[in-house]
Amino acid sequence: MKTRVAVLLLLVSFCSAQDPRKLTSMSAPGPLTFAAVCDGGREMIGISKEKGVFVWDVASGQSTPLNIKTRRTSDGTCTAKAPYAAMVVAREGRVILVDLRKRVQVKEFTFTQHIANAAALSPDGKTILAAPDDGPAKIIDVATGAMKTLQTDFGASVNVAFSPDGQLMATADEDTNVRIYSRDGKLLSAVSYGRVEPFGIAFSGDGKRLFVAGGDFSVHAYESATGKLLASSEKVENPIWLFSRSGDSFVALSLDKKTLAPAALYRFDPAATGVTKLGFDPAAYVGWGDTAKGWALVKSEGDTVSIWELAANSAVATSR
Amino acid sequence: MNLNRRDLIAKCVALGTVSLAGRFSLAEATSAWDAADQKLSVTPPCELGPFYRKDAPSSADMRQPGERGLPLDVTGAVFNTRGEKLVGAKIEVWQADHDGLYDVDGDHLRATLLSDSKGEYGFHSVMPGHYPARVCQHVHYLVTAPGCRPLVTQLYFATDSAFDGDPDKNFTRDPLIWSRELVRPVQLKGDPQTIVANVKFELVLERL
Repeated sequence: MKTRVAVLLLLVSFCSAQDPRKLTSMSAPGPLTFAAVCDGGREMIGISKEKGVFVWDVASGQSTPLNIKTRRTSDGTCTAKAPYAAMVVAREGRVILVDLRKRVQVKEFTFTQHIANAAALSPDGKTILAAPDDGPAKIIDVATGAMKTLQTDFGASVNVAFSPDGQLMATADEDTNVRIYSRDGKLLSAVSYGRVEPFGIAFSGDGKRLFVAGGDFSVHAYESATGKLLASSEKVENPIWLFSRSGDSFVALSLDKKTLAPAALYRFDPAATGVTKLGFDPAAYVGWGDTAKGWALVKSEGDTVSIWELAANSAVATSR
Repeated sequence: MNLNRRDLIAKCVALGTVSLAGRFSLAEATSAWDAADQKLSVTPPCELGPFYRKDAPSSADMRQPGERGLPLDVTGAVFNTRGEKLVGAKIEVWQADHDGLYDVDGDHLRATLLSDSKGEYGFHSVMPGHYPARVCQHVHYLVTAPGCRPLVTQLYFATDSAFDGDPDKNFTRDPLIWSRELVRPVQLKGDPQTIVANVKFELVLERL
């Protein structure tokens, strides 16, 4: 009996400890439409619809305006290990590379005349995988600007991802398939996600598994090399829109079925079979990224922007 | 064997039945030939959106008994850019209900249709509702046919309150409407007890 009580208390403590905790609050030039925490949590890049692009030094809270004008942004990312560059994707169909150290725009690529859905930057910063909403994803060579268009049966790619070692790429496509490519764009496998669209994709730390979430309200784990389905999670309450790796587990943001506003934050264990709903109000969520100890969420409320941290390995015990 | 234009010209060039005598490439020759044949413009595309479900039921009557909302009948035909009607084209449609909700667990207000022997299609539904993430009422389309590029588009309604009665001027209020052509006139038919909104939406697919 004592043991059962102890286990119960342990689980309760895990449940509370795993919720995101606020790391810091900083001044902002106004409400942000997008933000990404970069460089192990040392810097953050964010876009104010009215004032443009800013980079924050997270330790001091100081922000620096960049001479970049954007109207809206849809996605952003940072290199995993190289702290020199971050990337934002403007809704106008542009990818912008930013040097965080020098606080300047390095390059810009226009890859669609329509809207950009998502983008990913390879860990070495040499390749961009960009998803327009009027066709399949494109591979962009950062050095030359050369673009190679991937394939779908119809429609666009909703989301894109690189494996941690940068050797594999994946696309979540509107034609209800998930496709895995080699770095040079050779199709390795195409996996049917069923009747609905996949929205979020993320590789495991070793790149051997690909985790996919989307319109069926659950997460599926596939073997990267073969596309073989390994496991499926229980369902949550809403479609899962964003999905990212956090240490040994995965974090997902679901969207309300009607408003399409962020609805809830979940954590999935490495086997992708257990689901834990986290205590976090995602109403003012505008972005995420990595910190030294885990995973960052960014909320923007008026002239204040706050970073919340989700510890990387705190949740594994709760959902088994 | 169905060869597309480019493959056909390439084969003819290889066999010597066609030669390229001007200062232009095979691709330019193909484009010029296609342009000369084109009688209709491709229906403007519009994004697929997050609520697509493949393999929806084949019933053209999506309206359930007691369904809330103004009854809506949509008809049209499917063409290629040569103006040829396409028989057996697959037309997938899906939409929100009167309250602006999509059925994300099932197939309510979703259908997979085939164009008939005249290339025509039609379905019975209700006028879709507004919902916070989108400005305008709309019906989603995914149209596929052999020899043509798949068409992903959306149908909008000139009567939408978001246009304030002037879709020519106000159609860009919804940033996803890339072309005024997708906003179609609405004709009200029937009697006071059973008024039905009728909309005609022709679909033109690009030839491969």
